[in-house]
Amino acid sequence: MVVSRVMATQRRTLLSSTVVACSRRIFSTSTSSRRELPPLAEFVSSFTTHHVAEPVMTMPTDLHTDISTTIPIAPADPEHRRLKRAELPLPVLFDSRQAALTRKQLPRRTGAIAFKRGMMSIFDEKGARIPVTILHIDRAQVTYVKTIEKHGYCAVQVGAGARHPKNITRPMLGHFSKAGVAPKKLVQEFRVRDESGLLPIAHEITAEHFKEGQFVDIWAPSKGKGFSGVMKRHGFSGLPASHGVSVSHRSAGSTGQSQDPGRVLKGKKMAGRMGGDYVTVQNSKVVKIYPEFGLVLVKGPVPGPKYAAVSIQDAVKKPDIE
Amino acid sequence: MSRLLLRQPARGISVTENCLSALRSATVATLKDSRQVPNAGYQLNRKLTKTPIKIHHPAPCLLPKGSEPKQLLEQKLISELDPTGWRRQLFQRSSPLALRAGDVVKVLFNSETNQTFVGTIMAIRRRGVDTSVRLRSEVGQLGVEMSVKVYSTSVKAFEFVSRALKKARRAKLYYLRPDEKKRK
Repeated sequence: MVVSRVMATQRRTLLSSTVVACSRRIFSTSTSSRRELPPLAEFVSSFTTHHVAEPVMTMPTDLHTDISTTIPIAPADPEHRRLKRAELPLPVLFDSRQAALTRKQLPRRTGAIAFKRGMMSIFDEKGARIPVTILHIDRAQVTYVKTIEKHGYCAVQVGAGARHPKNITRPMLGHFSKAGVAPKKLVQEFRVRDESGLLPIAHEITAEHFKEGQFVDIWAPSKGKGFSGVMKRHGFSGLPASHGVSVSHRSAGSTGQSQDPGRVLKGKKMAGRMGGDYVTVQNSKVVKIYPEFGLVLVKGPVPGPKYAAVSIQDAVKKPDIE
Repeated sequence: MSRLLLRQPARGISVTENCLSALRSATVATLKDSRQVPNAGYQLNRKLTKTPIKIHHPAPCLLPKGSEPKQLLEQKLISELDPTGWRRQLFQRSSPLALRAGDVVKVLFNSETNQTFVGTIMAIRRRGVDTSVRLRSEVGQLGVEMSVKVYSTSVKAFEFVSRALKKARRAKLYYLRPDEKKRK
């Protein structure tokens, strides 16, 4: 009995060894037809190229071969690769970013950040009085430049003013250090039409950037008015001062109809926070420039309180400067 | 078993020579590289910046510190508009030739017709370049008031006609206007 068991195990081992030997024989390549297999990426790309390469190597037809060798393998040619979308010969769609850039109305040159420093008046040659706002361009320098290739649009990032390094975050300190400028109080981007409007980094934008007599657009957050009532905020007339009106002289009155719609409609003008939102004044005339002080005098008022930062740029609706 | 608490030199932000004078101490922007945990006897090293950050010194502001551009510009403008200084002599409070409310004055304008206006000074509004004078005159039975910007280039000259008979007891003589109730 023991002998038979031993025999059985011996037979099993013999059988197993023969099975293994068979598997090796079936699935392994012979040394004569052994070759290097291509990397997986190239193998996959061979399916996706437009060009169908001719098979370089002939396929052995006997059974003892690899399955992968039955498929033709393209040669490793850098020309034959998957084309990027921008390289494909397709028309530019109306809704694409590329087309939108050509339609966008932008000034050619960059703008500058200035600080509002009050108002005064000037007399012209004829003796007419012109009220002007004094804008001070304080150490405005280019800190970064954005291009179509890298960012999808053209813009110049300008920093103005000066701030103590201890009050500036480390990432911003690194940003200014990379630009080679001192830490700035304020940083803002000015979009330009194309690469011709871009300026070198650390280039200073002075008051001489603007010419006397040119038109500019000025935008800044308006003065905050706090929580203001409906009469100030929306110009409502309020209610009569007398004749029985009780306690609601400055109120809005009715806020809607009756059962239909049965609710107050969205966007109903009501009391709330007023001011502190961006206001753009277009086509302000630059009356006078004092480059020795970095001052630009602009006709008329400018949004925002005194000492606040405003952005000035060439007027979009006027012809290009120089 | 005690271990030595090693304090590594603080990895700071290196500053350019120009900036050193501006920054008072090296702790303006220094990193605490090692954090000592008490009673633990070891330290943690963290590398927060690989390369030091150079801080550049800011250029001086074009406006002198503490100055208001309006004052600077007004001084400039007034000296340009009034080079000889006769306007300042007539309208500055401290001047010996200063005009006062109640004086009669003749204004000559820079027009083709050499227009003039004679009237009593009702009010002098002193605002630097924006200084103006309100003159009142009775042309027949019609009262005419005129506000004249003193530093305007359209004003050629002010001629002093006469001083007030009695010194006006106030600066603004709006009472010279007729009483509308009486007229009705």
